[in-house]
Amino acid sequence: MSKAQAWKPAMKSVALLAAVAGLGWALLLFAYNHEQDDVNGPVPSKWCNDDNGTTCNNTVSWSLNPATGSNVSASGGLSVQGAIQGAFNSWKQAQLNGQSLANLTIVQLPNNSLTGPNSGDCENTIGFEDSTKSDFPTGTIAFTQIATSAGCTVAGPNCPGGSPPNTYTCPNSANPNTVYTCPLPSCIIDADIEFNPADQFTISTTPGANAFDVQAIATHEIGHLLGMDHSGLASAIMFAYGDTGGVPNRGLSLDDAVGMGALYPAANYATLTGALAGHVTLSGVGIFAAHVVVIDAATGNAVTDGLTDTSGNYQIAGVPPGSYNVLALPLAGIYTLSNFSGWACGFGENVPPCCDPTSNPSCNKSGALKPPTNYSGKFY
Amino acid sequence: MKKHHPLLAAFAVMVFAGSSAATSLVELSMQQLTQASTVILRGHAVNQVSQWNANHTGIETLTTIAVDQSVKGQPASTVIVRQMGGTIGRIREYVPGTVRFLPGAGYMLFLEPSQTDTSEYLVVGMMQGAYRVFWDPNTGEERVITPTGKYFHGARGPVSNMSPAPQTVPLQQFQQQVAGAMSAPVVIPTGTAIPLKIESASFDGVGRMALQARTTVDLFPNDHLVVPAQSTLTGYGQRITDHWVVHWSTVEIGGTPVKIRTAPEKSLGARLSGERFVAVVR
Repeated sequence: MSKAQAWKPAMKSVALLAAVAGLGWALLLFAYNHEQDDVNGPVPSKWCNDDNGTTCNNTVSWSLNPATGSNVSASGGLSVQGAIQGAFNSWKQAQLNGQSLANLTIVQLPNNSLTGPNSGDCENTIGFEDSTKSDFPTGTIAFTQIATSAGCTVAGPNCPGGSPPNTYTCPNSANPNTVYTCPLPSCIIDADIEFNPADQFTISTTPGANAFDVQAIATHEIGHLLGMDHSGLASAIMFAYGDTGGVPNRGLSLDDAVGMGALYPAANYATLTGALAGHVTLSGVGIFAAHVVVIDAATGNAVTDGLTDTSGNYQIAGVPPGSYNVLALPLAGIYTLSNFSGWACGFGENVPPCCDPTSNPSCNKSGALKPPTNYSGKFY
Repeated sequence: MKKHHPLLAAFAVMVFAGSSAATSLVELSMQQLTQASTVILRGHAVNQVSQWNANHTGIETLTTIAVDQSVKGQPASTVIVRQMGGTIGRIREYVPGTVRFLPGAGYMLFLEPSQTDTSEYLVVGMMQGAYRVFWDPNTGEERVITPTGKYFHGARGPVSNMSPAPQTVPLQQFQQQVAGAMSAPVVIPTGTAIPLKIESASFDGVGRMALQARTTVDLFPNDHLVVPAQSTLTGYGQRITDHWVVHWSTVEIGGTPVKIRTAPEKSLGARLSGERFVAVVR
């Protein structure tokens, strides 16, 4: 019998009250993820746009270069502009039980003619024509390039006086010497979205078999622009993979909405969601890195998930009121975390890939990562 | 007999229900990964440098991979993998889907040439083309990690509809899968339309021109086939009275020539170089 088969699923029904709060955050989530800045972290990156250097007004602006090539087709009077606006509206309207979870202001600026990503201009542009000839690996439908400015907690050559707050400029903008302040450990300062000019796109209610739906793709990429990383849930708009044809999935899942709420929490976020906590054991011993999946008892849909800590405990936050089954699975590939850049390694700093074996001898104690050979240089 | 929970039983019998409709990457099959790759290798990361690009509009990261074993192509002893993003000082640029290479760690990599610098490589399918190799102390064998995990790869709906595919696979088994995918015949289905642009036309006899073209879009005709943009086609043009008739005979996918027959296309232009066509496979 394999190790996987030896694990028993732990199922139990859990009734959540609306105001179950304060139980803490999940250690790790395979569902929604926030982009992490590991310069001084890992810490989540988010938009701030401070007014006075100390507080955030949670505002993000965007503009569109509406020029498209022959790889983008539209029908029924629909336009690129309308599709992109619809995608932003999906995030603006992220709600749970009719109430907004997120406190975020999104502002559309006039269209521009910028082509190609430019993280130094602090203008967030969505485009279809890439004059910079970005390298799109085969299979890439679109990408978002997100630039963040990280604070630091210890004063040093790169961090005079220590921060946050930290300061940054936009060297490629019209005002290259203007100094902006980020009062957070990490602020997103620029994000650009590029659609692959070698892929076929459509703006239609019935996309063809060989074309990607612009609005669905844009909704996913805008999630990145706002600070969301990929989700492990197939039902989420932030799931990494797309498809052509069929009825496009343009809406947010609960996972997406909760993730956005956690990043930019509205005043009532804490009371709109609760948390699940528990313990997973095997033969009476707490199991580390068990994959705990929260499943809606009524529909059978996975809602969110997380991992147990080294003692077998889990705490999963951002769960809407309801009844759930909890399924515990072996996560044989905890190493899959390495594929999520900037992952928050809250569950154990000495477990690869959360540690650098070149600087932490105990990092290799599991034997999961062979000792480096001729490694040199800095990895990020 | 041990009684299994109904949900696990459902896991065991349900069939993968297709990819979701979320976005960003095309989920590539093993055959598509191998086809799109000009180089497949096992190697380990030995160095990494992040730098601003020439226009100072973005950060790029170059990772040096020492090649331990070549599976496809003929890479040098070390190769450079180019990715968007990286960290310089306190500015971090991140492109979701990129691979976070770990120092010293081993990988099975599926690579294609960078368009920015053809001496460097991109990871095919971004994170999909990087399988980390690790030694499993429980089994005493080397295994590879499925890049994105698989538990939730399924359609929207109940968990019971989702695939329980394993997150790690023995390296030996994985290499057999790769070898199987590489040896599978590549067939471009009849009716496949291939947009292309003729790059060169050279004299090849009276009234005949040898042609070379490149595809202009990524094509995914089915789950077993990909024709990446910039794939090279070869063919010829035959002059007939006042026009050219163009035929294509080969398309090179990931460095492997694949024979094709296309419907004849007619061109009234005087010269063929620079012209765009849509070749339809017969």
